[in-house]
Amino acid sequence: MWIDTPATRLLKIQYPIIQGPFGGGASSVELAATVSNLGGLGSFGAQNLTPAEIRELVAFMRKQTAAPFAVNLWIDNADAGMATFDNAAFARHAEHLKPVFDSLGLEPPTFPNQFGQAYEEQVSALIDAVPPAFSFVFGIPSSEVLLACKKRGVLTIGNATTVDEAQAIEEAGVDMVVATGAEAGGHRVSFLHAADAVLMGNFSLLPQVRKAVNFPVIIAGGIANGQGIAAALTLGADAVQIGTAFLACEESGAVAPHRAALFSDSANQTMLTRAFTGRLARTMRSDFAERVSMQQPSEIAPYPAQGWLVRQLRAAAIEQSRIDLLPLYAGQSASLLRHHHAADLFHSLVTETDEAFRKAKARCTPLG
Amino acid sequence: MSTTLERSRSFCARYGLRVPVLLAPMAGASAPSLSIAVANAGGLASCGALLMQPAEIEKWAADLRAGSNGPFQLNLWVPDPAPTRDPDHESRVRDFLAGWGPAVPPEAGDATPPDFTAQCEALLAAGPGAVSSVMGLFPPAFVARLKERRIAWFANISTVAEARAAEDAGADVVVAQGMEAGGHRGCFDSRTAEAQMVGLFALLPAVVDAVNVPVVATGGIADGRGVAAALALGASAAQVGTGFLRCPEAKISAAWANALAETAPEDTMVTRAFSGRAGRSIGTKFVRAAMAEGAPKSAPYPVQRGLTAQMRAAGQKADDLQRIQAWAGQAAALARAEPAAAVVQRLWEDAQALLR
Repeated sequence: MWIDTPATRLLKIQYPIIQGPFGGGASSVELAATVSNLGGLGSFGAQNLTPAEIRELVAFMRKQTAAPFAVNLWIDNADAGMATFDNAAFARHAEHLKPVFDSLGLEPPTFPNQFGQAYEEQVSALIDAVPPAFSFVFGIPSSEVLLACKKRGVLTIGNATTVDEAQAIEEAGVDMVVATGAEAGGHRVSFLHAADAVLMGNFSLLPQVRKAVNFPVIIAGGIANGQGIAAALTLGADAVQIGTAFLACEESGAVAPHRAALFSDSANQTMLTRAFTGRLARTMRSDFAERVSMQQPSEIAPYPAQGWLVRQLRAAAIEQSRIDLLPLYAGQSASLLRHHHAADLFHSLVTETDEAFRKAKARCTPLG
Repeated sequence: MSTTLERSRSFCARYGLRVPVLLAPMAGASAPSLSIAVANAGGLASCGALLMQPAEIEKWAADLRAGSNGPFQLNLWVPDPAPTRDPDHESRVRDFLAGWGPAVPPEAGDATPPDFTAQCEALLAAGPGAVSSVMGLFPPAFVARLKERRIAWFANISTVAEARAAEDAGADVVVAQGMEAGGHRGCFDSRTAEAQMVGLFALLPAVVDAVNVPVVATGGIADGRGVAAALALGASAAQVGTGFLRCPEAKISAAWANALAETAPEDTMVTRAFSGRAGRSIGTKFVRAAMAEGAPKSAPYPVQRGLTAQMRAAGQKADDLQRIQAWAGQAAALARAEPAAAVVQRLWEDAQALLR
């Protein structure tokens, strides 16, 4: 039966279906708990949360579900350029974006106290809170962190965009890996390579990761229905991680115009851009991002400063329906989206996968 | 609703195959010996005829028929209008290329591919089971003549919009090319080749939903798992290119064949450096240098192809990987150095085992 895999056994979940974690406030307890309660693995992207918020999150999740769930952090959460990102650099980048601020009638931003969260404090709060699973992107936690997770029974889930990243994750002693193909929406989470130099389609990435490692492999990118799940498991995955299709559900933390946009024809046109955060991510095509992407790389601020700057546009952009100023994260399978509620989506994924395997296994005269 | 295997069985029955595996047409790597072996193993043979004169196309078909009764497809690029020339820019490209091979004379950029209309006539005369198009759609008059002769038209596409256009223009089959594919990207609009890189996992089900004709999956498939997954996503067959290049019958240069085995998926790059059109190749020293900051942008197709001809020939002669046009898909490392018949058999046996 397709639901019994090394990944479901290790995670103690019923179905090999993982809801991808979303950053930027798009994760929600309701979505993650719904998926976990239905027998999948719900995830919450905590990269923008303070340590105290992470402790509260885990406690709240435990109230909403007795089933396993994952909390996700970014390991490397500041680009090298942040070391020299002073007032002058800030002013220069704010100046680049001034026409956009002007167009929304906003005052230019002023240098903030902090651009993002400190990973070390986040991860120690996370370990203290003992979530059932800790998933992470943009690197591998230190051996101390991994050991602490092991001691407390926190399962660890790494993310790889290449075969060698998957091998490094296995060698570090992480419990399983998500192989993230170029189809995936959101950030490209490469950590041993420049993200734009290693864009690999899942048809190539997954079988080669499968061949190279001996621990459970989860596939992410381009999967949005049961046919995709069946194909992914056939291709060698032990579980699938689905992002965009869950992001489009009303239970997600994505703003309404983002969710609506995912069901529009324009969702079929995605792009890879650093415009929204400073790191490469797949979003729906946006005029703003295209203009920024045409600039020299040095004109985009490092992560997380670029993300902070663009986020200052957010409230006014939503109010004024300037959705090209929002990072409308989307994978390449948006045309397959059908469901607006997480439970409907989850039930469909299960029945469609059953159906796909039933069709594949239906007896007929063999060929050749 | 047909089952996965019924769908591929009906495709095989229609095109005279025993196995739903197509050899990808690879211009410059289309030895008849490889096609004969694939056809005799039950798959669809193919010839990338882009660079062939009519007489060469005729000879290729005769060679194939001497070795196999199996069906085959002949493939052509649909040409773009001739590009605008920029002698100053070409001169910078020539200077750059002189660091990699013999000095390049200005007239090297004048080389043009064989005449498309004459090639089309040769295709009709050769009477293959299928002809295939890439980089665009065949002109309606040619499509009408294909239909008269009951020659099937397989149209290579890399976006949903291209798939719809191909079906509307009368294509009998669309071949959905994922970004994983080695060699030239078949985008209709050459300017968008890098921007429209859709992974096969996302492209294939979207194309299957968008068209009513059978869909063949290609790009990054080189083992039975890939074939099975493609069929599970709604394809009727899988087309494999790089996965056949290490077969002895492919007769490609030793340096290229050996390098494929060592090519991790992250070692390939999409580059215009060889021909002026975007294609996925091993990230050789030449490719990396040509794509580095400060290197002159490639000239348009086919000018760049002409300008690099001498370097490629010198690389070929010296069996020097760093200077040959070493196309590779992202599944190159899965290619096996064994006879093509064994590759076909393994692809299908492994796929069937997964689908049962």
